[in-house]
Amino acid sequence: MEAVVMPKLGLTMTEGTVATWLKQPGDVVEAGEAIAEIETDKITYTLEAPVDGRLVRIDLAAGESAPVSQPIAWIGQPDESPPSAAAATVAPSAEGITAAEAVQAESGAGQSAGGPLATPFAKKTARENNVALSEVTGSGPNGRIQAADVEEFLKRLNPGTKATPAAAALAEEAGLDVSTVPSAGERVRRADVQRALEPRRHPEGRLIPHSAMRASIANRMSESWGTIPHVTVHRTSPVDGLMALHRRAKETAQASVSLTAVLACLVSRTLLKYPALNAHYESAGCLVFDDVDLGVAVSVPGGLVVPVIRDANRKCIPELAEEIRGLSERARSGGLELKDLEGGTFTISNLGMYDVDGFTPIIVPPQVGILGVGRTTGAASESVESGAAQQNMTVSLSFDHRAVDGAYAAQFLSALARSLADPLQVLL
Amino acid sequence: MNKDTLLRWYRTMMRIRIFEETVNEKFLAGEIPGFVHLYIGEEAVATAVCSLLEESDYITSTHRGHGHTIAKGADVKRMMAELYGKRTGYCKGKGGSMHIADFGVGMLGANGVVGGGINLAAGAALASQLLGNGRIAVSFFGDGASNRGTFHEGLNLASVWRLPVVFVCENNQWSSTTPYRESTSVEDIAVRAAAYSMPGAVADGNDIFDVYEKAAQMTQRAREGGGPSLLEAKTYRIKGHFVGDPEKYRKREEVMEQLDRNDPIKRFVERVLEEGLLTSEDLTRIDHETLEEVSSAVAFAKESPFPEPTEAYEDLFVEAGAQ
Amino acid sequence: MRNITFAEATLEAMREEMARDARVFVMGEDIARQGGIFGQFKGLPDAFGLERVRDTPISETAIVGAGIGAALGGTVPVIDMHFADFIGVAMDEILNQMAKIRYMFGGQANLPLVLRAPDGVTRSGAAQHSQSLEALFMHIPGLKVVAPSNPKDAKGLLKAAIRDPNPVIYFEHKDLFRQRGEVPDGEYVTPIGEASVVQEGGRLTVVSYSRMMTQVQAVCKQLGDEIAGQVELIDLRSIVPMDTETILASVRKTHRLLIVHEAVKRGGVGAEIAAVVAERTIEYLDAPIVRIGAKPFPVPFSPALEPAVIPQEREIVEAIRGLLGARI
Repeated sequence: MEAVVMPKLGLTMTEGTVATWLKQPGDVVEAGEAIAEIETDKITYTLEAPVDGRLVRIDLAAGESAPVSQPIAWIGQPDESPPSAAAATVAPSAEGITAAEAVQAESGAGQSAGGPLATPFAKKTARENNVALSEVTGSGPNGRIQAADVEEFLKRLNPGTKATPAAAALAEEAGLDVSTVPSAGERVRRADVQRALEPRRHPEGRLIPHSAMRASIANRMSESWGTIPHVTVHRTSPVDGLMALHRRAKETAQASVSLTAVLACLVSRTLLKYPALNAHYESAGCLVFDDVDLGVAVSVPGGLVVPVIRDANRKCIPELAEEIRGLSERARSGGLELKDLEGGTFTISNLGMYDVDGFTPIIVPPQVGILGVGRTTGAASESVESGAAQQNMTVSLSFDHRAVDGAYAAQFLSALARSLADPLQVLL
Repeated sequence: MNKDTLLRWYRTMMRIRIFEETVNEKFLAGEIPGFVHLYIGEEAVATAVCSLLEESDYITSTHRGHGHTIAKGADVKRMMAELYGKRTGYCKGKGGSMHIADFGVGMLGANGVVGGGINLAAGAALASQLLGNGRIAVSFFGDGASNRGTFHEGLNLASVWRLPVVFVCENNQWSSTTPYRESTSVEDIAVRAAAYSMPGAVADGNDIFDVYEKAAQMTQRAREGGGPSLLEAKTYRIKGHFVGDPEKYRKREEVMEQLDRNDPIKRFVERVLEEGLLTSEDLTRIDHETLEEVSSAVAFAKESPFPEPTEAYEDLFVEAGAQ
Repeated sequence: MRNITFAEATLEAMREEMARDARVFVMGEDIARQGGIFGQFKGLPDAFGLERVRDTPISETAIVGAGIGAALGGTVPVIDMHFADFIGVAMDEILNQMAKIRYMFGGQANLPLVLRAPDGVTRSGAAQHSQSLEALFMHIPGLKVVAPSNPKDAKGLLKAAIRDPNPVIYFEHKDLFRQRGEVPDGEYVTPIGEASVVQEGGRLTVVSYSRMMTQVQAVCKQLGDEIAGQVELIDLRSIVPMDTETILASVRKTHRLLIVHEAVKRGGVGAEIAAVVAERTIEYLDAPIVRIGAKPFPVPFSPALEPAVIPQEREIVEAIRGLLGARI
């Protein structure tokens, strides 16, 4: 039987910690084979088996520390049994057992009876709370169960604490008494604990400085909201035609076509009939455009950008889809140039993919209008010819009341709604 | 010697003799537990020396201590009760024969360790010197004790401090089973006094008059601030070392000859009758009274209750209770 | 409060008690002319005369034996053993006389006597001048045994010992004599049999006494407030009678026990404390009891060897860290 001892890896080293055991009791090892990783305050070291044999017993659990030269494991033949912990000391006599070794010592009674190793106080605590020690995981030396282990077990188990195990564990880790955590339901849940911990983590709040993009968005939005008298009109419209067109476009294009591209096609063509919305408001008058340079709001990490599709009213759906995809990719990868973002005459912002019903978009100055697109509700039908519309969508138009009035905007929205239900309407 | 002293001496010697014979009998009858060492044959030493002491003076004694205790004035009833292990004994049953004591008459205890009392007596004398109360101390010990360090350290200390103490060595010829001649470097232990610059004298320990005469000079010296002295009283231990000693180490004839020729009480009686100092009636009366006294002591001891087991936890410290 | 040495504190106790009670006297080797090896008797002959402050022959048997006799004769002797190691010379006087006289004579006698015994390791005293022997006397019924760790208790316990009507062995660590500390002004007595909770803490009880107490306190400082704050520190002060209730109450609170003494660990005071705790309150233990004491060898001479036998601070640090576990 050969003792594997905690190596002395330097003049000043007095104790080391087993980071991991690479071999388990029962494993056959060869001399020189790595069996454990040892950590000191300075280095990590691979501990090698001193002899050929079988790893018979591990005396020091991973994560535990021991003084140098203390046996931490035993290698022998399968039929050999290692000496008892008391006899395992390398001191001159049994009386020479060091304090550190005594701390590690096993309290034999618990083990010889076949039960788990536990301190008397842990046993008392367990007995008084009707806890079976076999269910408790010991955190002490040699896996010895200490009273704190029983208490932790109880905290997770005991319905009196009205906390889920995950909540109890998180609370204990954070040093929070789980019974003080407010809970909406019967039991404190992990989220409750997390909430309770938040103010503890940053009682003063956390300052995240504005990014350049954030600052820019903030300026634009403040300018818009502060100067433009917004009015938003909403309309929920059947969109079976739109959806059918979308399906057909995808089939035709043999590529992915976004719903936004189909919308861009219909919106840009509808705008041609309502030129006052395809305009810039300027102090001298409204600058009205013949073609639609359509801004498309794209969400990017940390904010949003609005790249512009030139002459959207002249492009077919696959072209629009291709262009939006390209712009979006460049937007997300930070590859947009200034010219991609300038000169929009109207903007679409589609949040339908996030399942919002509708919203009031803020106009991008100096434009006059912006269309917010909500989600599609209802089940898809095979074709528009099959009968009553089954799918709806809410579209919201925010407009600059200095430039246009509500009736005009409502008429635009009405025309758009018709084209969403039946895209051929744009041609009429 | 006035008649009162002679009567007192006889009464004391007879009290010791009858007490010891009775103890012998009761021990052999199984009534007295432990082991006892008898003073028979040595009565003249304690009787003569103690007759020179006041009640407030101190003595220390040996394992063979009944005689000293009686001579110093202790009550045989309470002594016998102690030997019987009874609550009414001097030590409430905690001491027995070997630790018989009566601090009330200055008897600072029989001592189970040979030579154990020598320095205690020196210390008691030191206390008297410091307190200036005029008391003196006497230490009784045997020839065996004169070979212990306590004897030599104690005599030296008493000498350099001129303590009021008399060291009385009862040379009864036997250190348990070893003859003193084989264990002691000198023929007369008294000569050891010279090593400590104090007077030393040999007395015939079985002649009460001789012991008295020599001890008187020493007690007087102590009282007068002259310091310590050493008296060797040559005597003979009639009984075995302890009751039940098979005495294989000596011939029966030797003992019988001592009893016949050298019994201190017999020698005293022969002398006082021969010289007409006391009458036969005086002695017979004392014999009867003493027999009666010891016999009622036995009755008292037998009637007395044993201590309760919990009394074993008393008297360790001045505060009551177990520690 | 005054800041004086341990030796001065014992000297104050002697002066006060000798002035209070004319029966008190002191004797020993080299205490009158020399004033004691550690100066603990300096000036006493001038104040009380050579009758009451006595140099003795080198006769430990006679000194202790006569001390016992003097106590029986109505005085209150304080006996200096010069070095605790020399107690062996007078062992019968202690074992068979001093410890037993009151009891075996059925309480007829009081034995007001103090045996002062400078003990422990100091300056390479080697095997016969370095021992801590309190466990021997703890084992003998009939003796009280005290071992102060600081000047304040040194004075208070010596006064209590002198006033105690029972024999008291007063162990004073040689290395502590020059240690300074706060001593209250005016009259006070430290009761024998009361431990002192020097510092309160919740997770580990450390029991110590005499010089090792100062080592433990130094270690606590070194470990910092966070660790030291978990340590309840008990200065035993009296070995017999032992204040076991204070120890038990503390262990029931902290669930962990470390005992530190300079004397040999085997059969030591720590063994007794550990046994009492195991007998009476084992269910409250949440870790093995740990004892730190000297290894079972005579104290060697060389400065290179002495620390290998006598407990060192590092061992105390390791034990405290070990017992407090991975959380520190």
